[in-house]
Amino acid sequence: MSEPVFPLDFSKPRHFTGLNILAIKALSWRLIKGEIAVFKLVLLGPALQSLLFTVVIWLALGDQIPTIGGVPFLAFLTPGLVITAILQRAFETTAFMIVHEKLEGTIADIFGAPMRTGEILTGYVLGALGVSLIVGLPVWIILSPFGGGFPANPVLSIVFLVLGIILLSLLGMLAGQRSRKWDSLSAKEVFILAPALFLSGSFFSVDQLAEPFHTMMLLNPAFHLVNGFRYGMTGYADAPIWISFTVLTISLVVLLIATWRFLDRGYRIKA
Amino acid sequence: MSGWILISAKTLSGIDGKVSMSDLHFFGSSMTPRRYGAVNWVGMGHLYEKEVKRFLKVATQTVAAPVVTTLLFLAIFTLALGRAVETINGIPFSQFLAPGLITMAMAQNAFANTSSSMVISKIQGSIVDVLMPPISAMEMVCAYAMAGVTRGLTVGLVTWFAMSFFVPMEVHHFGYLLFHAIAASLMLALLGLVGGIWADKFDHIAAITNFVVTPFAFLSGTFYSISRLPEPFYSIAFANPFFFMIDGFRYGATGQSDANPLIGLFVLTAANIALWYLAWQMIRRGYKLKA
Repeated sequence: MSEPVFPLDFSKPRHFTGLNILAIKALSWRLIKGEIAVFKLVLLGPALQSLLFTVVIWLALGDQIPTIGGVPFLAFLTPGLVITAILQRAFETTAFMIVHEKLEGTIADIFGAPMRTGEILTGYVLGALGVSLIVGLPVWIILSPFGGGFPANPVLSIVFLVLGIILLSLLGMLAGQRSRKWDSLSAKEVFILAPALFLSGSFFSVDQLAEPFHTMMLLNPAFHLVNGFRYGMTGYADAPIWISFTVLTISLVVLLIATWRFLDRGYRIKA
Repeated sequence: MSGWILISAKTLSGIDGKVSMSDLHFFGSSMTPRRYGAVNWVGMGHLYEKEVKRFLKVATQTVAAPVVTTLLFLAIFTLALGRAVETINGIPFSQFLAPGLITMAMAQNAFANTSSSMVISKIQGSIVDVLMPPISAMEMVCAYAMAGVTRGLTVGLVTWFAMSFFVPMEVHHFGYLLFHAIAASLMLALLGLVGGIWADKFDHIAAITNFVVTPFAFLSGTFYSISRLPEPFYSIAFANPFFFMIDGFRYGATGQSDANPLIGLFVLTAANIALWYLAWQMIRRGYKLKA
């Protein structure tokens, strides 16, 4: 009777002081491990997709490769492809996980754990950060022979990359919470996220767009992510960097508040 | 329910030898088996109907989504390349691109229709409901393939219509256009059927889509004239049925092609017959379908 079954003492409630780092770590590891265990081969999908885009454009251009702002077109293109692939995966990681857990009912395990809203949020975002970087690294390596290569301004690239991943993983959480079924999530992805990401100037310079579209582009936060990341990689930007940074910071604050409130109320999670 | 099973089992195995009149009403009006002609049109028709309803029920995912994605491709590639590549083989780049993208969309969706249906029914076990009824392997292949073709053509038609708002869409030779639309959808529908029978889980299908179907669709001249390719690859393209379906469809739409469209006609017919035979043999032998 005296032998404890568990090594931990459960007779007293466990006390967490400050941040519950243990839980945050567990939650983000769960996302990363889940991704690797479930997908494996498909982890290389984004790399292959980006490689196909690049090869196809390279073949279509032939020997008449134009330059944009002094940067050869392929070197202009590759940062856009890298960050697009990473952002898409950041969104998918949190959104898929939340919808999956809602449908399976295991989301209760997260909301039942002694975690504050902010800690749950941090756990998801850190997990998405890990997954996106794991997926993004092969994309960057595969595309580097086509141009770009090592970034011109590594610090700036990383700042914009991390900013983008956080933004998209928060967006993914919102989308995941709103979606009751896989169908509604993939509708959001195809009809809202993909157009926003692909028409963000990752494939082309916004300078060549006619007027209403040029202004519309500057209102798209995804454009500013691509713009900032590309500036860090190649030293060329379509719009001033400080504008991009401001727009992204404002978007981040708005999204953080929105996601925090949604999560705090348990919108479409708690009955 | 259990009474029905008990009596039918006894009757069929002939344990008691005799069937009393009181048992008979369980079987409905007739004791004679239903007779079918050479083709079980009822069964095949219903399987086809089930497969078509399956994708129409979620038309947002299966029709609208690919149309939007294809339009996005048209936009980004025209914007990315339109300045540097003004014309290919004498036609404007966007007009060169549009038929290729439509073929790609048709092919990918025909593939998705049969492969996903097959894998889902295998995983859920509902494949038994298709294997049990008196439908022959040939009728099964036909129903699945035609449903895949229906999805491909639906996506192709809607994409064509949507693109006509942005790019002047012309029909140069309707016969070639229709043949290549059907042949491309059929080829990928059969490939999807074969892939779906072979795959044990969704990952396998995702792998085929990512590593076979998409690369072939991308690298077979959707975005460029294959005369651009350096030598070994240029010759290899002529052994690639994906190239002929894109090239032939483009010939039907624009009147321009990299290869003689007649060759494409033969290559696609041959590829379709071979794949049909393979799918038929797989289902007939119950490869990965029956224990």
